[in-house]
Amino acid sequence: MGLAAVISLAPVLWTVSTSFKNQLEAQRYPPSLLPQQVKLSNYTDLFTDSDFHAAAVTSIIVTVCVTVLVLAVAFPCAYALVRLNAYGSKLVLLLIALAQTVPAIVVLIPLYSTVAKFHLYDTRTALVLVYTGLLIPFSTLVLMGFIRSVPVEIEDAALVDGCGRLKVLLWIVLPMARPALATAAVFTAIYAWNEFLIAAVLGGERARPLTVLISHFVSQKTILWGPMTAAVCLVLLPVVVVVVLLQRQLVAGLAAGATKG
Amino acid sequence: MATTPAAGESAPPRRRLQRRGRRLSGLAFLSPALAILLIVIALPMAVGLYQSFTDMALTRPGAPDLVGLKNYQSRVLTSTFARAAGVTASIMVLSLAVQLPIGYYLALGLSRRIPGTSLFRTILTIPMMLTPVAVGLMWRFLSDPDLGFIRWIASLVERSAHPNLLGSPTGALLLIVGVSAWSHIPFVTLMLLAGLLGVPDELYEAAEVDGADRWRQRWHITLPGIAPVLLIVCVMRLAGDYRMFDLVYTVTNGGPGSSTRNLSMLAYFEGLQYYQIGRACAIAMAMAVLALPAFFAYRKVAKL
Repeated sequence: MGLAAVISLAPVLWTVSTSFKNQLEAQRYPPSLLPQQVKLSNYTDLFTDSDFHAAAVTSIIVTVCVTVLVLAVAFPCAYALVRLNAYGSKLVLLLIALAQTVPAIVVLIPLYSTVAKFHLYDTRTALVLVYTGLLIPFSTLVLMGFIRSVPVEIEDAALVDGCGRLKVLLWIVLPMARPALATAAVFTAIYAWNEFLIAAVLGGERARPLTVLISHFVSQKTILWGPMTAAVCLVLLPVVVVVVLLQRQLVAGLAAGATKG
Repeated sequence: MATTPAAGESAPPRRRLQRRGRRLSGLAFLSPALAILLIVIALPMAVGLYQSFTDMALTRPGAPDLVGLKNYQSRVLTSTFARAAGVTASIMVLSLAVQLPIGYYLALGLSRRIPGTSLFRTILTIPMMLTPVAVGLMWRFLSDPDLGFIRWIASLVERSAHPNLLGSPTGALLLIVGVSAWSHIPFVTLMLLAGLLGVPDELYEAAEVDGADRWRQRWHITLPGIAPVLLIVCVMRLAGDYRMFDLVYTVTNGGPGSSTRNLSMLAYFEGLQYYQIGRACAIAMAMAVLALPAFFAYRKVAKL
């Protein structure tokens, strides 16, 4: 156990330590465990870099939009799949299974030329739309598992009292489903923040999230370790904060998101 | 979906109308999701299938021509494709072989409810959720032959050790498997832990009374108990490593040479480096076909 914890953390801590070293110290071998002089310049350089700014803004906007959109669309969808035996259910489940097993690159190459045809190449709109499509399945599965676990009698009572389905969904199921919605939101937000391939294919200079920006560090001849590790740490920081604070939601969502329950 | 028992043909017409109304309002509820899934999943696959039969390339203006199966001959039935498929399969098999036993072992440890397990669980969850590109860059840095963490660790064991994982085909492949293990073992562990905690304690107590030893308990109680979860984990991990892109792209970029270029990388380079959309779509369609077993297995184990 202890060994596993060390193996989990040591690489991250090593990277954090390097991000505070100056270029000379970062390239020295044997390396120093802790920076001899704590340098903030790797970070301050990034904060004043306009490309980094733009990428951070793109990452944040896309993450927020995708999370809101996915929940707004997946919640009624999950309800219709579990409770209403809706027309089209089979097709939706088929598409969910496809999205979970077929590699993203399979849909991204055709999307690349299609998106260009609609003048959406290198726009945040395209990123939000495609991220949403690929992240709907996970949230739908999480929410389906939850809705199935709630007794149907409460809804039936409301229906007898003359409530429409929409009212039942918004006034009865929605308040109860708040924990499941939180779980789905946390996962969706992290996945959207982490996404790289979609943005690498469908985004250019304008719609470039942080993941794509930092990937350019390795394509340079000499890798600047200090700035690179600092950028990596900044991308990882929000994820680590969320994981530590919302541990319980994450563990709950893991099993629920893999199956229909 | 089985909230109401399927009524027979003889259901009163009013009831049948109600049911139809319910199914129609259900369609309204799921139509936004359906529309987006059709646009982002189904439509591109259909377009990709068509484009795979054309000579579409972004380097050349004008409408693409139909070329039949030419792209499949020149891009799929080749040794390059076979090698990429081999790399993909090696990564999948080796990763699973590493991740399952270690994940199981850790899950057993966590299931013993010793104080402090919740802290361990938090620590274990971190690598799983971290941004894959950032993780890849981090390991690219840690495995740098001249100044990385891996050289430093190796030098603690043997002073003159100077491993160059990124420079050797086997080393690079093992590095990818290792990084994948580092980030995915937590998933395996937490899933199996949920499975282990779902096995009722009474079964073990009964076995204890009957005098079954540890191994027999593992084999006859634990294994059948966690089998459904185990299957899901296998399918999810295999599908995940099949589509792996971010890690390979950042850690080795497919190198040295083409020794770690998997199918995703192959399709990516054909489409986005050489702009040969038709050929890239042929590779993508072949990838979709190869994913079919995972698709059917997933539908089965996830009950979709």
